[in-house]
Amino acid sequence: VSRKWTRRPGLIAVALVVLVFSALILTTITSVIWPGEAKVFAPLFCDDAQPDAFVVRDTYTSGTGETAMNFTLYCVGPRGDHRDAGWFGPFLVMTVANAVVIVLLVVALVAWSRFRRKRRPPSSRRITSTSDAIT
Amino acid sequence: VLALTVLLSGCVGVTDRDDFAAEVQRRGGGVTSDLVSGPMDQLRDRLGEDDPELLALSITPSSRYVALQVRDPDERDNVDDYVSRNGHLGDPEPVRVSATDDLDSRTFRVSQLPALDRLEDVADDSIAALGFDDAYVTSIDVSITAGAPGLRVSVGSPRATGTATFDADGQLLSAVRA
Repeated sequence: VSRKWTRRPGLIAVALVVLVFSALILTTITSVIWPGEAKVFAPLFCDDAQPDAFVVRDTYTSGTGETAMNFTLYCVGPRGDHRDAGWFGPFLVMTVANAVVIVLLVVALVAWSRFRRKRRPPSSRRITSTSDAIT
Repeated sequence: VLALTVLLSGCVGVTDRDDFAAEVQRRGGGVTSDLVSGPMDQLRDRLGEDDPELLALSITPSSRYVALQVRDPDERDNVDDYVSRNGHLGDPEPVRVSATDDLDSRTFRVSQLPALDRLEDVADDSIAALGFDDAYVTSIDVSITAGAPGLRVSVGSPRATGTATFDADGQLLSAVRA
């Protein structure tokens, strides 16, 4: 952690809020397009007795003609016995996973840009201060 | 991209409710012994009674739904309905009992029915005895019949339905196509 961050705890809080918000938005979008993503994390919710995960879609049509969908993760056993694992838990785990992906992407981008800056030959560096201009 | 998003919305990796129900049926209907043992454990804790007196026990495995009619151990003439969904036992609902209802003649205890500890075998035996293709258990009802507790297993299939009856030990008594 750079000194800039340790000196400004407010920056960390803002970064965390942005991260949580971005992860929630990303999870909302991905869970609408690919609800089956929850099955990736099924081992966290399904035990060995009911190891097969299904994301079940319920579709409702309201009186005004609007269509709504509900998703539920089910753990299913070999005899068809099943347990409702809900959707809140899987959604939360997907959000955490997406937050980790976002952090990794940001770290990779920062590292890449620093690497590029270091590799640039000194002659091609832009003059950023008067001291650079004098030297 | 927007059109693709709308087209793909809720499509990737999901199973529709009807298809899920069909998958449960394809695997046999979902009969496992914990359908009874789970709610009974909760009922024992709730009543403080090791072996509560029951008047009826009905299991719908496809929805993990168990209905129990129970005599209050403190006031034995009081009867309550309990429902268990997904393994969670709900609150008791009082049942009206008529003056002519002979509760004692309908009362049984789970300890009298060893078959409830091996419901998987009961389900398999029912399906085998009826011999339907793609058969699955739709419900199991426990009650007193001809003075003894027994099980009545309803079996469904795309082309036929039937009923198998078992004694308290899980011995097959009859299997009849409807």
